[in-house]
Amino acid sequence: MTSQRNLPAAGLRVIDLGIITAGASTSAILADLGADVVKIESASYLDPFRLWDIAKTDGRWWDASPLYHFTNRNKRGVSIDLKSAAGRELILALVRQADVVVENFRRGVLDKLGLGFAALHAANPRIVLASISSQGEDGPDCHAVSFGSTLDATSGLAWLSGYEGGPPTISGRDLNFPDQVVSIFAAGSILAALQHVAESGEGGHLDLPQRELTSFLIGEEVIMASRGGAERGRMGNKAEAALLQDVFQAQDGWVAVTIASRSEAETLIQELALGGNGDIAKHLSAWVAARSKAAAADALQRLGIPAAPVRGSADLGELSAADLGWAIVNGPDGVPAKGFPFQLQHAPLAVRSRAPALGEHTEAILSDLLGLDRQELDALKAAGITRDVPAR
Amino acid sequence: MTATFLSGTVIEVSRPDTPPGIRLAASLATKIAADLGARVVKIEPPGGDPVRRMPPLLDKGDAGSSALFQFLNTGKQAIVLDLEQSRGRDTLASLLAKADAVVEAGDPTPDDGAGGSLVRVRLSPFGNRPDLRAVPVSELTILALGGLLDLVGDPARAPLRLGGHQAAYSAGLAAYAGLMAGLMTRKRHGAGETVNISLLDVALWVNWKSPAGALLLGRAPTRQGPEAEWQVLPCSDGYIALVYADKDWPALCALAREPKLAVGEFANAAGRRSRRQEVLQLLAQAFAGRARNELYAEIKASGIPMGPVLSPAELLEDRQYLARDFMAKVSHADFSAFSMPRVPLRWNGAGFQPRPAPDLPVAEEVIP
Repeated sequence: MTSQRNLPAAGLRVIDLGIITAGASTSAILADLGADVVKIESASYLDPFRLWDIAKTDGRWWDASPLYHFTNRNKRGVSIDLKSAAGRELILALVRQADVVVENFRRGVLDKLGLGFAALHAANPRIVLASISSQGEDGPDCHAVSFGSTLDATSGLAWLSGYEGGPPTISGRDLNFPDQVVSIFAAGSILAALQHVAESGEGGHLDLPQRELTSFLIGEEVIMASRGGAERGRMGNKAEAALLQDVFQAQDGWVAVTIASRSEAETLIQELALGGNGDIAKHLSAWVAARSKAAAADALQRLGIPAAPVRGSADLGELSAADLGWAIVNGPDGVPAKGFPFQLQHAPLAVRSRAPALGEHTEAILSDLLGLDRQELDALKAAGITRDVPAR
Repeated sequence: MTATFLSGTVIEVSRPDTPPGIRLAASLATKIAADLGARVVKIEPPGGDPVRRMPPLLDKGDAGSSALFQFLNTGKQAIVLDLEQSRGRDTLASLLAKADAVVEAGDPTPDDGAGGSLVRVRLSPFGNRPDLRAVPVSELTILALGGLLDLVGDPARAPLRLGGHQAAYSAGLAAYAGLMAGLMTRKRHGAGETVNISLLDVALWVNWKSPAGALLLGRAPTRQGPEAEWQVLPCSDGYIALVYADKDWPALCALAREPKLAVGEFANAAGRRSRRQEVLQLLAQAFAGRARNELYAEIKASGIPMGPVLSPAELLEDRQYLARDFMAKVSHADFSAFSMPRVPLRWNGAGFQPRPAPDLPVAEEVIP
């Protein structure tokens, strides 16, 4: 395919130690952009995503997790035991032929494996090590662990989220908002670092703390707080810039509405024959309540008012491929997979291959990239270094 | 601090009728590029970017003192061009001819197909969905259509948005990543690229577990409010986020100092699920009289993934953020000094200092 040649990261190689969402989704974006992403796991250390939503009784249960497949498409996979000296040597040999290493282990794990930045840099001075962590490489709390929703709390985002007068609110287990956004930012920053390395000739260590990213995403509120004054609390669905913004209950669900200005409100009052005086929110609420969410949203949109029915995940599951856009796409096997946070016009991004089975490309990669022969491959297997069947 | 990480010139331009969320997204993407060292020229219409007047305001009496604008436009150079006039359009064209990339806030217009080496990053509400093209949009309606609203809050109440501008900012991060991808195409392949970003696609992408659940697992996650396993619970001086995996349960029982939680049905995940309200009640009682810092010290020692709920003001005093010098002081000629988070990235241990956002130029200007 000619378009393949024009993908931005074609010809680059990523050694992917990223797991679950934050790490594995970062390297997935690099894979989408054309990089050869080699996902490293082992029989004794699986990406924990492989254990989600599966029954351990199935044959090859470790290759069955739908969410693992959703995230890790477009990658190749090898099984190498990082805890063995021989495994470590193999990784360093791969790093010599790579441009980027992505990891999101707990702080200290990579050093303990003998694969910290100093070791990687010694193996390849141009390597970019991208470390996606909870709180960064240093500081008194750098060993604190978190899930995405922990970071909602510690970043300030939860403080700002919630019903008026109610408690702070986290994004929760099904969203874990900070894990999602960090993978976009980390992928972009790795691309920035690669351009820097191309110019300076020197690799380096990218420190990407998820908590800091989440606080960055409320930057204007930090500015306000730094000026003192009254604490700004939770405002539910309101927006300061809009005259009225809320989510109203319709007959069959909810409708989100933003009324920017007094003049838009006047239009509404006139066109919908809402009660002219008093509380427009109250009148609009009664008007929406008497309609279906689709009919209410449609009528408001026709008047130029931003309005939309609230979709639940069941609604998302019923969307056509066109409506899912480039966010969710089908893989070559026809199975839905994670799509892309952006799309390129001249070299369209696509899910070109499904996620690798554990160790699927071990022999191909070790022989093609490191020149290992049959005998050496067999010896590694016999020694358990490249074993690709985990213990139950 | 690292002086430059990125090089090159990026133009930021918007259409007059562009909704605020799209503007914020474009400005966030170019702000990150500027803070990392790129030269960013922001084209403003006569009268200035409307975001200059968007709340929250630094000074109540000064309509042009938007904290939002100050955050989103650090390190940029501003010029005013009237793109309704041919002189303005000519100036823009000459700027683009010398630039590496342009970030455009507004509905996508057909690519001019010139196939030049300019990188074009285009932000729109709905991307490649022609049927939605004329639909009025806000960040809240994007969150509604992307399924994100449905996931947050209490099922007995209205769906709830996350605080701040998360629909716009997550799209801004996507635009930053797309900009870097386009610049890479330009540097490595000597060609341009057009990168499309839509707020709706980014919202759906961020919410991927919902469509994946519905399409592949036959389950449809929705907000669980007080029924959720993970909760925000009150303690003596604020709130703490109860977030844990099954393997953390013994450590959590020790933290709560509540022996009842460690035995019987509570000792296994299924039992806890079936008696969730009792579990939450016991944990709430256990934390109610204790302070966040005291709890957090124990939490960190035992490796539970919990943490305190911090306000923006508390972030400025946070010991980890202080140790990493994460909050940068910015001195702006027109305002008393304020602090803001740095771009959350360090390269070989060095971070990046934001420079103040530009004042609105007094008249239309042409950059030499």
